[in-house]
Amino acid sequence: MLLQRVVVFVQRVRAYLILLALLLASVALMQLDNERQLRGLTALTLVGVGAMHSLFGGFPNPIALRQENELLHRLNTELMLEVIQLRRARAENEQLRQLSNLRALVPYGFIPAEIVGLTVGQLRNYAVLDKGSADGVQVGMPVVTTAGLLGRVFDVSAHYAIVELLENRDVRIAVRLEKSGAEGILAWEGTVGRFLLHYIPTSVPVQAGERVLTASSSDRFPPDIPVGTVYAVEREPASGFYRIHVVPVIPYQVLRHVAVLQHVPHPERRLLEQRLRKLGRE
Amino acid sequence: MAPSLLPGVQVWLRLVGYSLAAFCCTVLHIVFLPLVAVAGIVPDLLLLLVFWIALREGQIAGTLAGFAIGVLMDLVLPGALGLSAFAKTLAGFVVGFFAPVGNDDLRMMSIGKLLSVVALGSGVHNVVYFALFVHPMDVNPVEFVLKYAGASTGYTLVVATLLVLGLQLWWRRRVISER
Repeated sequence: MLLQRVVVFVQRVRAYLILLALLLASVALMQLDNERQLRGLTALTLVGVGAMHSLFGGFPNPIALRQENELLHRLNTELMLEVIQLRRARAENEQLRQLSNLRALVPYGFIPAEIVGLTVGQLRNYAVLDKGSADGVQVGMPVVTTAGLLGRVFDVSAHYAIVELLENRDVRIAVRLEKSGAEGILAWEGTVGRFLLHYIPTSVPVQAGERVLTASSSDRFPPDIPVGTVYAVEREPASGFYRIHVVPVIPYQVLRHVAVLQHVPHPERRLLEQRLRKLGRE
Repeated sequence: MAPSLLPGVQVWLRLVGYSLAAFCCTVLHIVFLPLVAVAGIVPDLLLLLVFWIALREGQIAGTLAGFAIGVLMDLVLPGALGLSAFAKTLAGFVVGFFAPVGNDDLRMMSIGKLLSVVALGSGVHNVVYFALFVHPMDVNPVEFVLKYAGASTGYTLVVATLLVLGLQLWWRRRVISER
């Protein structure tokens, strides 16, 4: 009798009992989640899932593709910035290494300095160095890298110096062509990375690619420092001179580390030259 | 009370049919549903299969199907084992409670009632699932459950609506052709 009642009761609530048993089994599965045997089973199903993906997985998903595209764009930008930083570091490293060898190349003492600021695009281009009079920098000192001439110190304070770059409206430099030795005056004509070399007679052979160096006829800069390279030559029949286009050896925009040569024009020579100019005007 | 399990060969045939349907739904779930995922949420086709079984075969069959399909899902989809089984067992039981009894047929159920049952079952499933899912996470559980359970229930309901409408249409055509 009792057994019959129990059977009836179980039949009545069997759905709940089954539910309870299955929920308990689910909880047991949750507890067994990290067990080694089950890991083998899940690994096996993952193989099946992988096979399914490889079998049917060739369908393009426009939303996922767009997201992937955006992600790749972002990644690309990040990588590009990283490459720029690495390139800058490499260039800086190269410049520093070259500067350490400068002493062997230049018969002058020099003061290593870093460009901390640039004012460009106003036809009067200057660079600010992190070295000043306290470091021995004086007005008129040439500023170079191992590649060539950058400019000269225009003004100086205790800890900073302003360099008048070659790409400056007021700069005129006495230069010579490397092969012929013909001397002329180099001036910036207002276009970035372009100079004009004046007063080279058309009787002198000039070729594109020839180097332009500082001349010894002026004491303003030490002689034979590379300034630029000839890239185009035009004849000016009326004047008997060439119009020579020169590109600078140093794109100063990418520079950071430079050297200030401890060279100042000789006061006695400068005085004589000033007197000569005075006489010429009279 | 819900009808008991079908005897004999018919039971086995139905079992094979449901197994095949589960396999197809699993393939769809794994391979094709990610294509229609919205913010990582996909409609739960296997849950709809559980509801179908529960409404056709009754509460016990629905509960058992919920467990079996849940375990299948736990195995093939990344996540904690037993989680889906737990939620789907409960959902199968809840939906099975509304299965037609006696001479009543599933076809007699109105679309509104059918969708309400699906919404209830889906809601129960998703709340339980995401509540258990969020447990080890360092997020606001209420916000998480409401957000994901709501979204998942809504998306599943949209698919269920389409399926129910399609089914109704098919049933009507069948009745007309029989006449």
